[in-house]
Order: sequence, then structure tokens, then C-alpha cells
Amino acid sequence: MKTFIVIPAFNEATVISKVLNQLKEAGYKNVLVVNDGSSDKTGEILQRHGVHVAEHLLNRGLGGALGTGLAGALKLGADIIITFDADGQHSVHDIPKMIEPIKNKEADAVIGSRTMNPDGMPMIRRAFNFVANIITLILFRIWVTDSQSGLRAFSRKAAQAIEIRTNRMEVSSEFIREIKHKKLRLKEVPIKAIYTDYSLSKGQSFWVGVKTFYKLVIYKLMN
Amino acid sequence: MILAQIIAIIFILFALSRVGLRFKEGRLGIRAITFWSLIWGGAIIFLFRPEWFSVISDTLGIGRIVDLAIYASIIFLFYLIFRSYTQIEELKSEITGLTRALALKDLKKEKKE
Repeated sequence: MKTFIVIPAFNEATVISKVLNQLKEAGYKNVLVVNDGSSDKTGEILQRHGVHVAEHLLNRGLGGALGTGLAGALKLGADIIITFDADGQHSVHDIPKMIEPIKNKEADAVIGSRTMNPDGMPMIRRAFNFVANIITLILFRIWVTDSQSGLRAFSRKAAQAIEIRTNRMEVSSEFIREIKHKKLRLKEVPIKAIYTDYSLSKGQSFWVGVKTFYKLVIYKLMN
Repeated sequence: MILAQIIAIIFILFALSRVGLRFKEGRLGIRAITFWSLIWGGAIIFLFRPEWFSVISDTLGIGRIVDLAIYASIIFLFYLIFRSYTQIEELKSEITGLTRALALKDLKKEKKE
């Protein structure tokens, strides 16, 4: 089964090389990076690595990049698709446990949950995450322990069924909504999040969270 | 006729002239023309015959006709804002779709070296 790692990247020149090298050393050959209109040297760095690159001429946001990533991985023949953050927050050692339930046909979608293994997760992030989970439950009537996790795995069938309409950070909750709406089997597995000053700076701030909530409410009303 | 009515009529006639001009330029369709003509036409009727609207204000329990006009205007403005918002969201979606299509067009099975 062909596993593709999809990485949405926007201005990640300082860390993307390290992330790609870690994936290469762990044996993951099929990597698709979506360069989401980066204005730094991300594009140049990607040229030096033997990865597939989909170039967005304009920055469309996390949702836009993940939508392109999923479509691109399907085009390249992926059987399993892993979404993986470019900022170094995710560990390559968690990927096998993400793939296993799909290979064993126990699940169509797997979400890596940081709250199932919260050691090292800042309290403020745990609190924001909990609020986001409650909002996802109220809006989309599905409870997950880490609705904002960027580490996800999908079978080919699940990736074909999911339709991403949102552009920015609200995509994380939209994935959950699509999993429920398309009746996909979901499993959550504990993962380790790697928090550095850099990866913390790339996460959702309070005001981004407020904007995300507002957009999710509008999304719910319009869909 | 009071000064406020005269100023309002001049503005409404100006607005109607813009509507006609946009229609002549082909920038507004027949539905939009009808919509805005009804809005501005309704405004002129309200200016000359406000008592015709007293049936509506009495039914709704609103004391003064001018209050009815203000409430209706606020609701209408909110509606326009919401419509503009949804149109902007649709445009954003179309831009993403186009950006994606261009990105995937160049995506080949061979990796970039």
C-alpha cells in the first residue's frame, strides 16, 4: 500500500529541511509538500529535496493547502494519506500507529490525539483545545479528544469522500465534520507533540481561535 | 414639502440614475435593476405618502412610521452585509479552486530534484 505524507507549508524555511530529512531517514519516500505561496526560501529549499511539490501561486491558508495536498496525493496514486505539520511539531515515530488501523481495515480515518498523551503540552493549549473540542461537538455533533490535531491519516476511500471547502484554520474542525457526515470510521491514537518556541508561534493564538470559531458558525449555517 | 424631503428626492433620483447607467453599461442584470428600482421607488412612495405605511406599522405595533422606516432600513442593511459576505466567501473559494488546479496541473509522478 502506497503511503503519502502531505505537508502544508507556508514560510517554513527555518525548519522544513529538518522535517523532510527526518521523514527520509524514517523511510518515507512518498512526500508531497504544498508550498502555500511562501514568500521566504521554502520553495528553493524544497527544490533540493527529492519530494513532490505542489506550488500555490497565492497563499490560501491551511485548509486550501490541505485540500490541494489530498487531491495531489490521490492523483499520485496514494492508498493511505498522512497529513503532517511542517513546523516540527509532529514525530515521525507516530506515523506507523496512524497507518496501522487503516491497513488493518479497522478505520477509514485516524486522528493523532495530543490530549491522550498530554505530557509537555502547555496548559493554555490544553484549555484552547478543550474549548475547540466543545465547539466542534456543538456544531457538528461529534466528540473527539483533539479536534485541532494536524496529524491525520486517511484511506484512499476516505480522502476521495472528504470535501474541503474552508480555507484557513477552521479546516481542522471541518475534517471532523466530514468524517461524521460521510459516515467514515474514525479512530484516535495517542501521539507526542513536540513543542518548541517556533512550533508554538505557528499554532492558533486566541484571536485566531475567535476568528476560527466565527467562521465555523457561518460554515455551519451555510451548510 | 419640507427641505428634508427635497434633499431625499434629489438623492433618490441620483441613485436611480446610477442604476439606469449600470444597466446601460451592462453591469447590472434585469433582476438587479428590478430589485433596486423597487427599493428606491418604495422610498419615493414613502416620502410622499407615509400614511400608506401606517397599516404595516400598526400591525407590527410600532408607534411611528419613521421608526418603521429605520427598523426596516437596519434589517435591509444587515441583509446586504450578509449577502456581500457570502459572495466574498464564494469568490475566495473560487480563487482557491483556481490556485489548486494550477498547482496540480504541474504535479507529475516524477519528483522535483
